[in-house]
Amino acid sequence: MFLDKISPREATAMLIISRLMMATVLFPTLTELGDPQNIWLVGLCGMIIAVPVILLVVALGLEFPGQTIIQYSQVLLGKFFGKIVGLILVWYWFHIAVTSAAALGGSLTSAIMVETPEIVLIGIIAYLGASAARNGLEVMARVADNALWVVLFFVLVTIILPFDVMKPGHLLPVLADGWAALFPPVTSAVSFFMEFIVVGMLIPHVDRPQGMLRYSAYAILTAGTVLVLLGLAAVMVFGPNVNNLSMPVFSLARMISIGRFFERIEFIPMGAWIMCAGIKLSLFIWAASLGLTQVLGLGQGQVLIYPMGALVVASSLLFYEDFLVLIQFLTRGGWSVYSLGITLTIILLLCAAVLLRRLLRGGANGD
Amino acid sequence: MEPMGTRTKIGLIALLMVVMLTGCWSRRELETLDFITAVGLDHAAEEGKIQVTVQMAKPFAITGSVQSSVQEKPFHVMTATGYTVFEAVRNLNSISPRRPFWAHARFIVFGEDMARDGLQEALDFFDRDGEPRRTSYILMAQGVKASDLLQAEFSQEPMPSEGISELLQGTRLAQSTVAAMTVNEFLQALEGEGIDPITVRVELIPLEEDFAIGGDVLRDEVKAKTRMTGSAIFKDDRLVAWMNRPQTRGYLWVTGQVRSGIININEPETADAYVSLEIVGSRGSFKPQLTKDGIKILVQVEVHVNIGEMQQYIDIRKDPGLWVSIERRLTQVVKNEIMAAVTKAQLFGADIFGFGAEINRRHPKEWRRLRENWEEEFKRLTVEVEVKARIKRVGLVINRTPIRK
Repeated sequence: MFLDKISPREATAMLIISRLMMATVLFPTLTELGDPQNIWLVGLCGMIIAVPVILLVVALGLEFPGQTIIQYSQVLLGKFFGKIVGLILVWYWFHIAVTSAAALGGSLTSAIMVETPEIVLIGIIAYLGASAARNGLEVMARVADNALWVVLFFVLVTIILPFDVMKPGHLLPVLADGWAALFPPVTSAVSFFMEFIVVGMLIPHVDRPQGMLRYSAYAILTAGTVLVLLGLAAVMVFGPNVNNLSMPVFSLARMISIGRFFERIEFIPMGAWIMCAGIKLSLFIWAASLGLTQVLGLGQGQVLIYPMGALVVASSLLFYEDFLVLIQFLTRGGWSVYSLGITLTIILLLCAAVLLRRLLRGGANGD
Repeated sequence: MEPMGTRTKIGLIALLMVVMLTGCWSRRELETLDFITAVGLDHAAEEGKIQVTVQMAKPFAITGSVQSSVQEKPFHVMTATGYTVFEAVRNLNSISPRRPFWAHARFIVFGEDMARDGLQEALDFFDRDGEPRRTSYILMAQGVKASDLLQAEFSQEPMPSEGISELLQGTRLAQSTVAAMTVNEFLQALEGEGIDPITVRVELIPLEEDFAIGGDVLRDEVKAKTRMTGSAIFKDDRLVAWMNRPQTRGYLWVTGQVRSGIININEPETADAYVSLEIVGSRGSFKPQLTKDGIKILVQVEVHVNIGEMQQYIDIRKDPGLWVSIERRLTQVVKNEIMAAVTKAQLFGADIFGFGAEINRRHPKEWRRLRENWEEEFKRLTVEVEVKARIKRVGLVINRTPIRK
């Protein structure tokens, strides 16, 4: 099978954009925060916890050069259990795509295009994402590499321009209710970083797989820093109101008013939403379809991409009939438990299997 | 990848046409909209209902020829009622041929009756809906209904909402006698701990029946105009008291918001004439100190003034002691203004300064204890004021022209 090759930097761009997507739209971690002023601590803790876990995934990938996480889990856990793990991962990626599509559709229809049917918005973005994925990972990666700067620029504009309504006083006191209050938002932050397990699908395609150790850490740190800055800006502008907002970043952009002339620039975060969502959907639709072909032992992954995209559109309307269902799932701990449960179990299982294998083989060599 | 087949190309074009030719769903054509420039909220005559009054721009009156723009009012006012703000807002559609568009509302003004009963029921629409903005200002109309206030006009400004916005900016910059909050700040003060909202007071001044206004304004005479002085203070979401101009400036000193303004003091030598001082710069902050005797708030204000006017001749060069004397009097005025504001706020238990919020920031542990009974603690706390006043400049003359007798 023809393997697309991408550089570690392009892989990083895809990961960063995927992580920024949900935060620029709904920012569930911020919503889950009891005391908004702790946002930077939450972001910091999230990053510190996420880096080693994701590095484990990369290390696993390096252990099995040329194989995706779906393929080597079948080697490690045996055909049957390996396939089950593979199916769970495929489901997880599919579900991420579905959730992202629903978040985008729900937000666009809540914020601006109130009368537009959600299916049209989701359909167009999912079609774009799927057609990029259909053209192969290289295309997606290059789009992401170029889009990253635009997205970062949009996000920075949203962070900086409301400066005149920011009140630094809103950032105090820190940790007024102790560390325990940080637990739910930190798990939320980490659970979104766990989407990076998709790096297990990317590694065989990266031209310098060793580089991914460094670059996946960069991805987490960059995305995390941007999130912290966004969170700080939102907290300074909205103070105690911040966790009532359904789309904090969008609301932040609505506060921009410079000289009563440069205002009404909500299109900026919306541009970021749409670019991020397109790239995130393409990445996860690609991962889910390729994963599924590898679980089922089919030859060509590309064939499944459009059907997968169609399924994502349909499921996003089916799973999350109402915006409230989505918000409830994302901000009341449901998603955190679900995402962390799946990914941590799989990662620990695979690591344990690798260690066991090494022990056995080490023993064999020793004899 | 293989080149795209003709059939695929045609298919793609057809797909594109399906998307494009149906038009845009959520489009809003300019000529179907009616731009709301100001909103007023009152209790409706019918029990339990809310009355929403909007002032809207009449685009054809603004863009018309000079003659027509002078004779025709460039705005109109509409009123609708409902059990909720949103219902009332939608009811506007049944009397307005154009769809009201909210994104350009400069301010929301509340009638006193409604504000006294609490704004809880009135505010959510302006936060939740996608069109109104959190950057609009919140105004309180003293003694009148908001709907009356929106009818008032200015002789120099054809759009009253524009006039009121300019008035607000003007009084803030030139006098520092109004404290205004945007929807964003107001909602934060409502939800935040240890802080209550304060916002600007607007009064309606009725004019004589046949009051003739000069200039080119030919349309029917202006019946009332508005004045912006002082502020309205809130306990939770209820308006509890009005603050006059010195009290409001007292609040602004404490929170460091004084921009400019005039302070009159008695002329130091004879004390039977005034010296007007123009504030050219100020800094203000406060620090809570938790002592055994209770909570003490240390307010520190630094004020720079220019001499703006002297009613009597004194030789200001003669004796630096004179400057000190002027500065001392200025210091006293600032202290008096601050204490007037504090006394008023304490009387109503409305922590407009955010003393509680500052205690939370600096001493979160103690705040956990104090927050339960904050209203009582706030009424009891003592405020100490330190003012540093400096005369910076004297204007184009050093001493005024003396009058030889």
